Amino acid sequence: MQNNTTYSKILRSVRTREELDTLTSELELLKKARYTLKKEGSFEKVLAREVQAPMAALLREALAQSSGDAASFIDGLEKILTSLTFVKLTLAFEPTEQQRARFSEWVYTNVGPGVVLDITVEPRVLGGAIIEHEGKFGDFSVRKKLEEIEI
Amino acid sequence: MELFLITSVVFGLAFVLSVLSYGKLVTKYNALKNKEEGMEELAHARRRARKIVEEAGEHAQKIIEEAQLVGKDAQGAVHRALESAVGEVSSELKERAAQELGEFRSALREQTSIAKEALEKVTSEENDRVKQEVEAHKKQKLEEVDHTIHEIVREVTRKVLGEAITHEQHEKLVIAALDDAKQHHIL
Repeated sequence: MQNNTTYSKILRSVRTREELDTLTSELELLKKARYTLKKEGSFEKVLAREVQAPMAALLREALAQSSGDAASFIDGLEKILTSLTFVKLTLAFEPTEQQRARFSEWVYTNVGPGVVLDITVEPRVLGGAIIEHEGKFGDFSVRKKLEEIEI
Repeated sequence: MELFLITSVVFGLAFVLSVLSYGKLVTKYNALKNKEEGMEELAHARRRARKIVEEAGEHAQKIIEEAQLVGKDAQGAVHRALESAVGEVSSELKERAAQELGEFRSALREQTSIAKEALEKVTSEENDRVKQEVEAHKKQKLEEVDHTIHEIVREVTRKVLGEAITHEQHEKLVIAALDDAKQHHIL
């Protein structure tokens, strides 16, 4: 069993629900190739074939630092991924990769590790964000502020 | 002896019969005597009655004569008395009519006043009700106008803001929203 430090870079790279879903699917494919992973050099082949290059590099690096085999490494990573929580953001625009990174950075700094953004685009909010986290809800959108203005 | 006895009985019976006949005769005599006395009393009474009637007739004649003598004066007195009585009755009727007319006027004035007050009250209440309805309607219309203005302003603002906010401004607004969420302990 690996500790969280082994997976920390991988977890930091998973910023949104889409990225988490992608990684989960890739790990499923790796698990399906469990028997071939035991053969010499086969893990690398499957990794190159099934996983996107940036994530593949992180997995390769993490596996190199781990003490166990590839199968137990993947099991440990899957277990951590199921324990992640989400911050749901409803935005008026589709954020760029850089903006996603900055929002994720803010969440990591202010909320802590193990939190993933779940972004939905809804132009009617006009600006700002509607935010949900662990059953709590707050509307900090421009639309809400406009509705509160007394004319 | 027997003859004596029989004779004695016969004489005795004859004596008894004689006595009885005498008694009857006396009774009859007395009755006739009484009847005669009654007749006399009756005649006497008749005489007295006739005398009384004659005296009464004379007295009546005298009264009539006297009455005829005073008739003319009495007529005048009666006429004057009647005129006086009629005058008094007329005066009393006038006073009573005036009094009743006054009472009628007073009652009419009172009823008119009550009716006027009731009418004023009803009018005032109706006036208040209409005012309230007008105010409520006015308020409702103003609220509708306000709401419409709000909607127009919001719609215009939405369109303007939706097109005017840049990506960088969006990012800043999202970071500000995250800060607010943290401040409100949502994050």
